[in-house]
Amino acid sequence: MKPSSAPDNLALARRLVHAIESGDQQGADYLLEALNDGRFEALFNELGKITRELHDTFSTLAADQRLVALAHEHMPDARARLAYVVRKTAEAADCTLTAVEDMQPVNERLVGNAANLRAELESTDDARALRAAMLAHFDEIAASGAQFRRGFTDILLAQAYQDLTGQVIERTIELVGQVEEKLVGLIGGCGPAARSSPRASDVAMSTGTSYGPAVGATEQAVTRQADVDELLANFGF
Amino acid sequence: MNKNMRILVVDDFATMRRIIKNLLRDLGFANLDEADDGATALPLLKSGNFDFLITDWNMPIMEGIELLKEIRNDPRLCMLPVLMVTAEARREQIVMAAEAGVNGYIVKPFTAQTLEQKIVKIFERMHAVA
Repeated sequence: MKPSSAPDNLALARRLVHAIESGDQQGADYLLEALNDGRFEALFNELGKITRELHDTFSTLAADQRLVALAHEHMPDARARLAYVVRKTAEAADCTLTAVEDMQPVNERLVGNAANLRAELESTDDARALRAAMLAHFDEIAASGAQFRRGFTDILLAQAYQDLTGQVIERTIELVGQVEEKLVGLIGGCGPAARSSPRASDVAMSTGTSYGPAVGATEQAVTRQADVDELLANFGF
Repeated sequence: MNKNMRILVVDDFATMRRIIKNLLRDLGFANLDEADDGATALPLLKSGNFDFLITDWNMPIMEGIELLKEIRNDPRLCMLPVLMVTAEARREQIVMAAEAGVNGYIVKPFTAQTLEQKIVKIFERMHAVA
């Protein structure tokens, strides 16, 4: 039976109503079946078309060696590189922070000693000229100490890049992981040539309420503390 | 402001925890503790007498916003001042945090001055209310 058209169906439906009205049960059953057959045949034809199209697409994909390389080599490579960046930047930040933490008490001691010496010299009446020079010298050390301290704070805050870039990179790793998984799955369904040890990815896209750092100001996101303060002013902050 | 108050710093990045703790020490706060996400922070908060919480938003297992809501729903913790220090910068998120009862919101990257200003402001407002 050919796929039924709307006028065909209408004619069948009219005959069905007539059959039911005239009490022709056998005729009504036959007509109902005819109506259903037409509908399913159209559906099967459509499914067949989609299946052929899918098969053609998979065959083309499998023949594309770049895609195979992308899935099996470049994607895992990109992930390894990004993971390396995360590890190395973390090490650098850790190293810098340790240096700062080690130097800070030294600086504090220096500043403290300078102040003590200054007090001692101030309470002595001997060797006036020497005393003036030493006072100036110690004042300078104290001033340098305070300067170091401000510098340390700047170094400390500069390390925030690790948190921000780290978050961005980790999100990229997740994304690459998912693309890899999808591509490997796609190629795996295409033919034996494309199948070579596809590895299931263990990462999943994080859900929840977070978006990660805003790379630039948009309609939805702010980039300056002043914008946050302005927004919160509406809440009585 | 009591410089001996007990502060919990919550962030999944150890680097950021160290940065915040160093800045706090520079401001004269020495009674500091840390946790790496909301799920580890919550039992600490429930068992210890903390006076102040500084938390990130985006963390595994329990996010900062969820931690904030848990705190506000806990009769013993609901008055705890909470400062959010996060890279999450969507307007809807800032509004969400405000509605959940956050006391301050700092967007990363931030300066030492911003951290000090927000802490001072939070405790000024608390004393004004008390």
